[in-house]
Order: sequence, then C-alpha cells, then structure tokens
Amino acid sequence: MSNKKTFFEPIIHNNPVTIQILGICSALAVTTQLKPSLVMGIAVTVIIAMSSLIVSLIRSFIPKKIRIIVEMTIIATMVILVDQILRAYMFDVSKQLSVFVGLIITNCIVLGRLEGFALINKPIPSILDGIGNGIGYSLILVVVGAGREILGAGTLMGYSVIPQSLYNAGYENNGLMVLAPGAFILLGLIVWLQRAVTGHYEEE
Amino acid sequence: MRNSNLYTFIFISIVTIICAGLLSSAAFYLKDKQQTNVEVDRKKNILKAVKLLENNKMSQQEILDLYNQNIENYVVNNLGEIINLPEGILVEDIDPEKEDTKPESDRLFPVYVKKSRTVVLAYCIPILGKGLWSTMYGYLALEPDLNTILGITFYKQAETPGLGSEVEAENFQNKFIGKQIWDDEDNLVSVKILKLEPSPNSPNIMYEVAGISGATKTSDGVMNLLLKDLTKYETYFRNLRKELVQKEEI
Repeated sequence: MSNKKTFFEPIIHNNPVTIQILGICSALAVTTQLKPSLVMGIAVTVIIAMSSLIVSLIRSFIPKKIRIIVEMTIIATMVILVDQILRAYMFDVSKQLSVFVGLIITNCIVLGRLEGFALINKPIPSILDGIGNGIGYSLILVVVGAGREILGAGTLMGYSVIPQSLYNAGYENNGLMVLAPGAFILLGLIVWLQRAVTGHYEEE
Repeated sequence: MRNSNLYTFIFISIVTIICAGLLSSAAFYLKDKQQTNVEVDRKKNILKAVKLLENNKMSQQEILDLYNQNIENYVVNNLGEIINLPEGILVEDIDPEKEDTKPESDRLFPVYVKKSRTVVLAYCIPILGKGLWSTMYGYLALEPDLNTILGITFYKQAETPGLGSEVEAENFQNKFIGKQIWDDEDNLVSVKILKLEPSPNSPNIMYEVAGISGATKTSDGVMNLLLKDLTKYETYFRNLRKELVQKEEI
C-alpha cells in the first residue's frame, strides 16, 4: 500500500469511527461543544502517531508474548504526558475533558492501530497511518461537536451564531443535543449519510 | 533467545524504566505551571462566588489583579476568633480538607471577604464534601447580613457527566442566590435540597432549592456539605451577627 493511501484511507473510506465504529464512547462524551472536541481530536491524533512511531521502531525487539502489555505501557505513557501538558497549558479545556483524556488509553482506535499496523510496518507508514486515523477520528468529533453546539446551545466556539431575531421568532435551543442521545442521533446520521454515499456495507 | 523469559523480563524492565523516567521528568517540570493554574482557578471561583467576575474570558493576570484589589482574607478558629498565621503561611495555603482531619481545637477556617475600603460587601468560605463518586470543592458567598446567600460555585468534582456534574452549571448555582441560612429563631438551618421545585406556598421556601433531577445522591451531597461547612463557621458568624444587631441598636 502506498504511503499516500495509508494516510488518506482512514480519513474517509476506512474512517475508524463511522466505518469501523470504534472510539464511540469518547466521541459521545466530549462532543457537547466544538472546542473540547477539537482538543480531544488533536490529543488522540498526537497519541496515535507517537505510539505508532515508537512501537514501529522497536517492533522487532518486542517479545510476542507481552506485546499487548508493551503497547499499553507506551500508550499510557503518551496519554499521561498529554494530560500533564494540557493541565499546564490549557487548564480550562483539561478541566472540561476531565477523565476523558485519561480514557484515551482505552480508546480502541489507538490499540487497534498499534496491533493492526505499527507492529508489522516500518516507522514512516506507521506514523502516517496513525495521523490519518487520528484525523479521521477528529473529523467526526469536530462535525458532531459543531452540530451539537449549534443546535444545543446556539453558539460555536463560545460565540453566538444564531441571530437573536430567530429566537424572537420562537426558535429554541434543542436541549436533547447537549445530552448523550443527541450525539448518538448525529453520529447515526453521519454514518448513514456516509454509507449511502460510498455504498459501504458490513460483510456478513 | 527472543522467547526466553530472561529476555522478556529485561525488555519490559527497560521499557518501564524509560516510561517512568519520562513521566517523572514531565511531572517535575510542569508542576509549577500546573499549581499556578489550580491557584488562579480557585481565586477565579472566589471572585465568581462574590459576583466580581464579569466574564469567563479574563486572563490569569487580570484575575489575580481583581482578586488582590478586592479580596481580603484571614483565618478563624473553632471559637470564632481571628487567628494570626505564622509568617510565611498564606490563608490560601490552608487546605480545608486537611484541617478536617485535625483535632477540633487546632482547626483553622479560612474566610475571604470582599471589601470596598472598610465596608464588607460579602463573606466567602470554602465548601467541600462527598457527592456520589467524588469530593466536590467549591465556595459559598454570603451577603454582609451573614444570612442571605450571594453565590455558590463548584470548581472541582468528578460526578456523573451530564447529571451530577451539573453542580458546576450556572442554572443550578443560581437557584441558591437569595436563599437564607438562619431561621426566625436564629438556628442555623442551612439550605435544604428537595427533589422537586419547592412549592411557592411552602413556609420554608427561603431555605429550600430544587436538586438536580437524576442526581439525587449528588444533590444530597451538596446539602450535607453546606450544613457541615456552615456549622464550622457557626460560632464566628453568630458573633458577627450579634455585632450587627448591636450596631443597629446604636
């Protein structure tokens, strides 16, 4: 597979969230607003890319028997590192993301990419695959986050986007969008839309 | 060789040591910055409780300036006397959580006051206690009559996202504004948190607010911690209230 394909495939055609339906838990939890979604997307991208690179570099030294443990150790280290940096430089966002930064450790996309790709590929394709999957994940988070913030709170990045005249005309923010079901509905619509366009279907 | 137990053992030891080293150095170098963030966040919440925070977009320096210009602080003991702290220790350094573990006579209780020249405009005390999953930390501000609630904030909690975590939401906190903590016979009653909106005809409506639906345990936690922490300051507040009455009589 060419590097270009490795990088672009997970963004749309093999998107980890909408095609493989991985990482749903965090996609629902942090997407009430655009800003935390964006930060979460960046954090996950950095973590997948870094862990993929490291695992790929040491792949021929990792004993088969303990490879999952080694992968988890590397992921956990990266996650805690990112968490510490967020706490130091983006305190408000880290408060908002709270436990979900730590829970990136359990995001199946990360372990899935290490097991399925980095362990058997060279460093450059591995890092591209990591970044591609991270961007694919972030893309969905950003779309869901923006949708939920606009429909649920009438704002985007904290700024009002829905004109006051619309509220005066009787428009109301949709409270359901702020809760988890709102994320489910939006995510479901995106999955449906994508499959309708690309014609992808689950293999029996 | 790759499959030998010794190799596995050596390999995982090296990985662990490198990871541990990386994390400890990160924790070491970022510690100061993180602590400053936590301190500024606390001061920001004191300002929020006493209604001085105009918006959420203030820079750290603006928050510190606003705090230094308007807030004075001191500590009282369990007899309600103001205590001088040993030099080098700030009121902000007093950790209410640690004080709770000391014997009662040694405990110190921080008080933050919002002042304009010599006139006290608000009293603010730290509050903390268990909710459903976590300890919740916040501040309670009272008007100068030491009876009416001016504001309440929570700045750290790990309650259920979307349910209990609503204690951080403004529409829950705003329900407390204007409620009272002393009844007509001068008993400390604190605020009761009900499951439903208090009925407008209730004789106790001044002391009642509605809890968060779907988060009864968290709401009960808030109710308990308010009573617990107000009781700590009861003697001090009683003394102040007596002074207020005497002033009025003069």
